[in-house]
Amino acid sequence: MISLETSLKHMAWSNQKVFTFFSEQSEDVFGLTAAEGEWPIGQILTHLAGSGEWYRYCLNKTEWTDLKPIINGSVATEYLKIMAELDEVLIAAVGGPDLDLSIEGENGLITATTSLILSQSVMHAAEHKGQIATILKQHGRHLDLDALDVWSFIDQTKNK
Amino acid sequence: MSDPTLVTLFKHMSWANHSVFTALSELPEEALMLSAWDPEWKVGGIASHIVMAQPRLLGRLKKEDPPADIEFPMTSQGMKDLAAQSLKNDADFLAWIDQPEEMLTFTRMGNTVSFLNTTVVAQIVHHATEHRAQIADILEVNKISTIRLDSLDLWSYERAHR
Repeated sequence: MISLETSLKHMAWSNQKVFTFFSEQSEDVFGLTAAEGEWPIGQILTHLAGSGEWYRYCLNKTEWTDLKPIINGSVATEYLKIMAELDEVLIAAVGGPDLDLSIEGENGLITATTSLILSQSVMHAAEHKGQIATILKQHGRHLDLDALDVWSFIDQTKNK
Repeated sequence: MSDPTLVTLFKHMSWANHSVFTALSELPEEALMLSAWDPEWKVGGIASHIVMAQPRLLGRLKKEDPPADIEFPMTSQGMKDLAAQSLKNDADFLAWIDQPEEMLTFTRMGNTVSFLNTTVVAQIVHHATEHRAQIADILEVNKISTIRLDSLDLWSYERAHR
């Protein structure tokens, strides 16, 4: 049956590609923004990891941590392992039951289903990667989104 | 029975796409002509691109030739038409995602290629999400904060449909 597994695996692969890209960028890139007052790229990248920790907490109650802000390529490199571990939690949840979750959030108790958490993780990561690529373009730099699409993921991983 | 997570993801995509196209239809038409870095890649054009890709991807799932592209004018009415067409396409998608996994062969960028139907389904959602973010950012760069991505997330979707 068609499931979310491909989407989640694609997201994990694409996250690794994006963080690898930023591990090779100069420090000024991490401060670029879409407009004044909007989040800089480094903050969006840190937010991607923070969201991963939130999803993990929602799914298995593992407490989130104080993540180091991504302000340069060296810190971005450290996140390759963090992102891989966080994404693995999501991939492991696919195919399981669609549980009703009660989550103690910072603003009180919230409820969600496993399917909501997994769907949000896929959508959220793609959205922010699109945003990052747009910010880079505005500033004359290029992150090739076509090379990060699902076709490319399958092409590059099908023989592995 | 369809995978519940996949159904959630698709229903969210449909709602988010429709919300964005509706918001675009309510902006002054000049906003649809805005771009950020590539003058050819305008807000209205990206919205059309999302919807024009849908029948192509759907055709691959159905093993049918893609229909001819329908151009949507970059006007308020064009965005309304786009929103309506997108809803129709999304309903079609929902009827087609409850399938066993299967290898499909089709033409992509002039080449004959083979991909699993799961790949086509994943790309449908990914493609729309990426381009919605692009539209929001281009508007933001041009100081139009109409589309707030945080209010188009899955949490917002669920709250809106309880």
